[in-house]
Amino acid sequence: MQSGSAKQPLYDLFMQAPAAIAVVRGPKHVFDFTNSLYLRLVGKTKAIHGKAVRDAFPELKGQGFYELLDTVYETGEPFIGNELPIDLDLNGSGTLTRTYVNFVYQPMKDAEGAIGGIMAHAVDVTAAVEGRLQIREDEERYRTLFNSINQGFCIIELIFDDHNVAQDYKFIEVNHVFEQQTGLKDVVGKTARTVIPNLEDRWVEIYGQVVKTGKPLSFTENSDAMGRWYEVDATRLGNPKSNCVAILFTDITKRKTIEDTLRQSEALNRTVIESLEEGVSLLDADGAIVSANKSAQRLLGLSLEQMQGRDSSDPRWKSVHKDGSFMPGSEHAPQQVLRTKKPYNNQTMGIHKPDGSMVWLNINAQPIIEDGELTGVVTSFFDITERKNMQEELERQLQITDTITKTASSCLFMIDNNGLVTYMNPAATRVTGYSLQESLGKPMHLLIHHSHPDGTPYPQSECPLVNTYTVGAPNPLHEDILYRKDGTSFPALISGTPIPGDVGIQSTVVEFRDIEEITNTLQRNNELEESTLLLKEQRAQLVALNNAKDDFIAIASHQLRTPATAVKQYLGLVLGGFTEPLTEVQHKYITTANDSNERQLNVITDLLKTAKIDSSRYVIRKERTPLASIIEAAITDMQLELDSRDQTVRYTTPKTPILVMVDRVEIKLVLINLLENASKYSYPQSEITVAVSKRNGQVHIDITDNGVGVSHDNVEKIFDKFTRINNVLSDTVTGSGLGLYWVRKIVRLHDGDVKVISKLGAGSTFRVSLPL
Amino acid sequence: MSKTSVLIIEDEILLQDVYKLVLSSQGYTIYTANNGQEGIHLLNLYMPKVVLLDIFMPVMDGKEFLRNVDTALYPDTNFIVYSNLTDDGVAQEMMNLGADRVILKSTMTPQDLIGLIEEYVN
Repeated sequence: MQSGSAKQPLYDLFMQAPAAIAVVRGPKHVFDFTNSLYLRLVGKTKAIHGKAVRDAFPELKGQGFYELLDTVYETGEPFIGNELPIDLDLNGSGTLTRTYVNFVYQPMKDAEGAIGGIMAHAVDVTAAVEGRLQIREDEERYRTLFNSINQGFCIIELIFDDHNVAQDYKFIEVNHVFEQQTGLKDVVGKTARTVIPNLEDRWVEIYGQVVKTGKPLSFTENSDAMGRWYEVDATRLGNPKSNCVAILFTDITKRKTIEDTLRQSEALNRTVIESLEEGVSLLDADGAIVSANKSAQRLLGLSLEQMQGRDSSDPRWKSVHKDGSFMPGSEHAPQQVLRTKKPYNNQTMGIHKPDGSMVWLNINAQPIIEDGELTGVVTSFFDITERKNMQEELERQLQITDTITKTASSCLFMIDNNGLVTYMNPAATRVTGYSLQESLGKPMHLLIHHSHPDGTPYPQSECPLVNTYTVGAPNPLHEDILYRKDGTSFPALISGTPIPGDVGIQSTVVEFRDIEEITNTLQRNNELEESTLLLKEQRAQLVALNNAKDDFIAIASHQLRTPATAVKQYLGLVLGGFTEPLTEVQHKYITTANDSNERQLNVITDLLKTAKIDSSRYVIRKERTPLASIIEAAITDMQLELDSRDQTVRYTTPKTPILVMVDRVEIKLVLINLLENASKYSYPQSEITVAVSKRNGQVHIDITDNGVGVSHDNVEKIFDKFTRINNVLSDTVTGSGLGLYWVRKIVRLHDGDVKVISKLGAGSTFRVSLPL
Repeated sequence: MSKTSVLIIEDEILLQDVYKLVLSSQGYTIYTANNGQEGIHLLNLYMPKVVLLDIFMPVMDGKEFLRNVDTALYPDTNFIVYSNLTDDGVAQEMMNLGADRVILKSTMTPQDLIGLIEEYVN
């Protein structure tokens, strides 16, 4: 290198050169010179001047550049690098940036040929390299895709004539599946009409259209020339001027064939199904009818439109079981299939047609399973109305016959052409003593008809009963002697009737009745009739009597009271001051007469009350009532009478109300009655207690007095009718002797009871118990 | 000048008399009928304030009387069934037929009767 002024022009040249240039000197490659492009390329400043390369570019360690420089310095051979990558720390951040460079390491020799330094001369080619790398990468990706799809793929270039009409196309590129999908080999570079000689024009037209319009097309098309069906997606490649089309296609020949076959077999099936006498319907996975054949429409009396969409839950089916009871939709055969995914056969169902008539169907239902999924149900059914009617009629006949023969009072034997017993009814068993078991298969004649009335043997061959089949005419009713199992004989009315079968007379029914039994029965019937009549008469009399009794109560209540009422009114006139004033004695006598009349009225009332509850017409009217209100009302009603004896009642209302189901009028009268007794049989100024308690689902009302009490012996008697117990207060107490009888009766009508605890001379407690 | 009128329909003459006597003493005008049929005639003739109606009577009984009389057409007349028949069923039946009240006459003294009529007159 020159120094001094001579260097200046060179320096300027370097600085302005369109390449990056640096000069390093000595074995350590110390930077002596760099131009601005260089500094920009490596991302450094002039601060690297004077520094060895290893210090100036620590990031290059391991990238081989130090070693390259060393080699060039030692050998004096230049090094030319082409598109070499170099990772540089461009901004001192420690992040390396890849840069591609073309460069030359040129050794610089002095006059003696010794190497003093190296000139590095580099061009940044990063953009070009990376661009190319990107393209390669894209292409690889495209290739991979191109080769990995298992659909056929090709790129074609359309060939147009002078009139811009597509005439042919050339294969530009094909993927590896192409051959398998087309059967064509080595087509790239060749035209379609060359490789497929009879190619239909429409293929060329379609692709020509894609090129012209730029609109992608998807279509399914066949080619007779290739003998295949294809599903094709065609898209114009690149810009509008491009004549290239990318074609993605699949050979669907096989699928198409299967579909066609299926369609044909479906058509066949449909024809078969339509011509069936059986009704056939197809239901979807929800059980709704999708389709049905003509027979189904005829059998159900519905058009296809009316049927479609209907499912089993539709109430219009009005389906019934064999026995005529309603059959819910959930039991219909197809519903069973939908639930179980298994066939359900031989269901008998009655359906009301829209015209109101009934059709009986035998139904089979099969699931349609596709890929393990139930996709529908096929039901087939045929009309068994006639069959069912016939069967029912037969069953009915059999049942009637069975009932008749079993319950008949006539004895019945059935014998075959050999005279062997094939049947006997219970009446025959009863009369002859032979059980069905011991008679079956035995000659009837030998069992019951073995001798003549005079005791001489009677051979079966002579018996007209056994031989009706030879005659073919009934053996008319006549009298004969028959024998029982125990050897005894009886006169019988007997007849034989041959039963015609398919081939002449097959068997004979022998019917007979024990004449004595008939006579006895007739007699017994007459007697029975007579006694029934008598009973009826007696019953009518009793009813009339009972009604008369009840009427009597009503009338008596009126008629007994009326005279006493008149007495009361007239005495009332005198005592009420409607007449001249009375003398003291007159007043006393009239008062006594009035009291006595009052007592009579009370007795009448008690009598009537008692008679009433004994009557058949008596009813209690229960309602839910607070017990306290009844007790309080009873005490209030008794107040005057209690006051007259200067007596008090102690009663505490329960804290929580107690509701009872009672006839409140009657129960109030019960309590009044008991309070009245307590008052009457107690001394003046005494106290009566009313206490309420609940126990064992019952409520107890205890009415306690400190009065005369009842002796143990008499405790139960006081509840009898017309009982009056002698006691110290008897003389002053009036009564009918019916009060407690009535009280207990009323309480018992409420499913309760009245009990008494009493001690003579100490007082009584009457306990009324009522259910809660 | 009478206060107001009462019609007694009662077949028992003894009772007719005593009621007539008692109520007349209070200034009421009294009409008496021996059965329902006479009662209907007098009812329409005099339009009494109160009718005392027995149940058991010959010719036409109290029930039949109420069946023949639409009591709603006599808004100013009070129909009191005054009888010795004590049957809840009958009492209810009479109320259903339009009676205003049912009373057991054997429990009533002359004073009680006066009080009862006053109740309806005022």
